[in-house]
Amino acid sequence: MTLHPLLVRLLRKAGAAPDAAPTLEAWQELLARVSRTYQEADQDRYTLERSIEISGREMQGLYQNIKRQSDAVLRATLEAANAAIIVVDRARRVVAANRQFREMWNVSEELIAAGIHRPVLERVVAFDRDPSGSLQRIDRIHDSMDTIRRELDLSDGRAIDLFSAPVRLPDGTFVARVTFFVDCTTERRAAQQIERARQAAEAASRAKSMFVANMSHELRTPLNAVIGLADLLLVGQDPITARQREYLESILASGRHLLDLVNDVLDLAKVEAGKQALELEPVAARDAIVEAVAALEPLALQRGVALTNDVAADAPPVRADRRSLRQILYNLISNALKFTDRDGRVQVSAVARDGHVAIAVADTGIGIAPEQLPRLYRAFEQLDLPTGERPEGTGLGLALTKRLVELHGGTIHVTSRLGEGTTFTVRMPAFSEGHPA
Amino acid sequence: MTRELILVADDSDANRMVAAGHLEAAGYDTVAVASGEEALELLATQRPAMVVLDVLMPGLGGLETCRRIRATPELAELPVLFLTALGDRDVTGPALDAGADDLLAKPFHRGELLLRVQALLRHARVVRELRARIAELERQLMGTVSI
Repeated sequence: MTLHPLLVRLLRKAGAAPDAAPTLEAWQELLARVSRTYQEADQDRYTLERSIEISGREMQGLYQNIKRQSDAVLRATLEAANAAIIVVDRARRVVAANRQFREMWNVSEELIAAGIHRPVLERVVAFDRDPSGSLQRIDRIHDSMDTIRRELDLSDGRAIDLFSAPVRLPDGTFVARVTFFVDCTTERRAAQQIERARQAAEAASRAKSMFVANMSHELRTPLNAVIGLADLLLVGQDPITARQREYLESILASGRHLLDLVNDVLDLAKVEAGKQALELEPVAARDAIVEAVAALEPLALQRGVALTNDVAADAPPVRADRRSLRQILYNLISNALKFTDRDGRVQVSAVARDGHVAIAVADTGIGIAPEQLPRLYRAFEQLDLPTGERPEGTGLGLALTKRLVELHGGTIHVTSRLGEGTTFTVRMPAFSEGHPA
Repeated sequence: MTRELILVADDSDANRMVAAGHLEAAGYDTVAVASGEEALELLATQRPAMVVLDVLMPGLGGLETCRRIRATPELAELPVLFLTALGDRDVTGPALDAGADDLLAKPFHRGELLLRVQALLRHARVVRELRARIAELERQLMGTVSI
């Protein structure tokens, strides 16, 4: 029999002589070696299996530990939130709900722990003003991918903000829906109160303006008669005495003053009621100033004040309502004339400055004391003259001027030095092609 | 020369007196009524040179009175001046829509009232003359054609 060369080599290691049939001793030695090897392999396998088993158990423990910890972190996070939170999985099991949720909806810990969504949901829906159909609606939303925001108005008077969103794994799998509830009863009540107060204030303001507008009409009708009849007697053919003439002239002057007041009040009421509709168009500052100066030239002559204008040739047109701009200029210039003594000067100028046209009315008049400045633009407040006299006019001119300027998106400011003069500067937006009126 | 007749309609007695008084003093004849209805009634029988209307009157207001005047063919060109104590911007558009020729805010200045009245009467006169001239030319043209 020819032996396999591997077996021959093993027999030789066991003591068999080369080129001779192996001895019995050699065979026995070989068997003993094989048997030892098997036993050693068994031993090794046992050791290996043991060690695998042990590390498997450790891994399990470690995993459990980590899971417990992350669950605890998740739960603590939910408890720390400033919202009531509930997480419900696809099978309608309550995965988690925090203390805030239980308190908001008056749900026991046991009910949450039972983990069934339906009874929990019924507690929530019980607070609806109209619970019919609520369960079905929530059911439909649950499996959808929709994000829901809703303001709940509960039957017990609470206002709750609801936010509900699907919970999805990074691969997009939908696993649960999380819903947040925030009680905002206090905030919403405060907002409602503010809104109601605002509406009431606006209504009152509108009513006041309507009243003033109607009143103005009612005042003008008899004023027309007072002024017109006094005028008729003055120009009529019937003979009147010098004293009667004096009285009639006084009636006429008072009537016209009253008319100025009524007109200013009406204008102011319109601006404040937001009823002053501006017809914005490009208006050449130069033309407007020249026109206003020409109109007030007689007053300047009468008061012995030099009235001049100096408008930059390149001043762009302003974006303005022609009539309002006239009123603004007229008020400022006539004011300047009124508070400037004989031989004084009033100069009106206009220069272009980054998107605006600055129109300045500068006088060498009596000036305004710093402590009087805050009262400058208040309706019906006239500043005291140094002589203690009360100035002419209605006391509404500057209040109206300021509001008109602001209505145009412009600004007005004043610099003044007592005894040296006052400069009012109005900045009006320039008209540009890119910015249509 | 005969004085031109102006119809004044205003529900306020005093204001009727003012408007009529100024017009009389300036050399016009006036007839004053207190409502839109009375104004239309009067226009059915008399033909004044122009009408001065208050806007706010009880019953038929100035705007509606003016609309009815314009809707009557023989009155369509009668000059109408509105007087109003309403803010001028509130009423200018509606007044012009109703067919007004001009509008003056109360209280008005006597001089302004008279100037506006003169202007309206002058326009009406020019229109009348032009119409007469056109009619005359048309007659002549017809005569030429028929020959």
